[in-house]
Amino acid sequence: MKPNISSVVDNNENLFRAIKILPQLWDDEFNRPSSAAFKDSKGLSVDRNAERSFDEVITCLKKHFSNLKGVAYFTASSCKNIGLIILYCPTPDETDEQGNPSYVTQTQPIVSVIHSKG
Amino acid sequence: MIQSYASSNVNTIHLPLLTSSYGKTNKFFDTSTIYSMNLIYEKEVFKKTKNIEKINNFCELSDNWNGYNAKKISSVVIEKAITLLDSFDFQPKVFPTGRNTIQFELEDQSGKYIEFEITENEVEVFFVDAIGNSKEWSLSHISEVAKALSLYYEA
Repeated sequence: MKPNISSVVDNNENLFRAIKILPQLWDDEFNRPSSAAFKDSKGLSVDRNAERSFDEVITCLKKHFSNLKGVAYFTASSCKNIGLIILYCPTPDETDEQGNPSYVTQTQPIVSVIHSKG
Repeated sequence: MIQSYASSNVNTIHLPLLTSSYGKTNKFFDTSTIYSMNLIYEKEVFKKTKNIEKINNFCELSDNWNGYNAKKISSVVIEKAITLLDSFDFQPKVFPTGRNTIQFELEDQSGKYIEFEITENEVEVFFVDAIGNSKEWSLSHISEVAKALSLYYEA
């Protein structure tokens, strides 16, 4: 069941982006994702925290994404502070990659690019 | 181009890939320097082979490869990226992006960073110096990559 969440993204709310193992988007030398993981032609889709615990969010992402390497998360305010616009676009009933129902509260797009040094 | 002198116990080779970014040409080196440069050269040749292999494997990425509906990387971008590798004396890290581009990254321990995002039509450069000043610009021709790399190495 989807939680009843506000369409306004609070500044303190965490936003999550899953990073799969392959293709490699992880910089092993510096042990962090490459900024390439945050470049998307339609703006960056992320999942909202949506009043869930951290563990609940990670569990949900693990269900939705096969072969998860890691999850990057950042506050909405950190995005706004560098001029990004956050639009809440709840996805319709979603299924995971195996076709099982799951709830994913994607917020998209965060316009522009988050560079690794940004 | 780096010159080297012959020595009986060191297998010397030309190091054409190790010249353009530093501009240290027409110098002679002692045998230990030549030996270590040979090792660096061989390491970079190996890395380049691995990078070419990695980029070629991007052909196999299907739609939605990142789980966020990313489209396949086009063959034009793949071919351009492989060509661009020749401009690098020191091989960059290579990554696909979710917007049909391929990204090259170089970074050192001081925090100096440069990335090249290869699109079908141009190459976007993002550079950050060691104290955090950043700069972005576009290259209209591949030949301009060497100039951008000079900025990185000389900063």
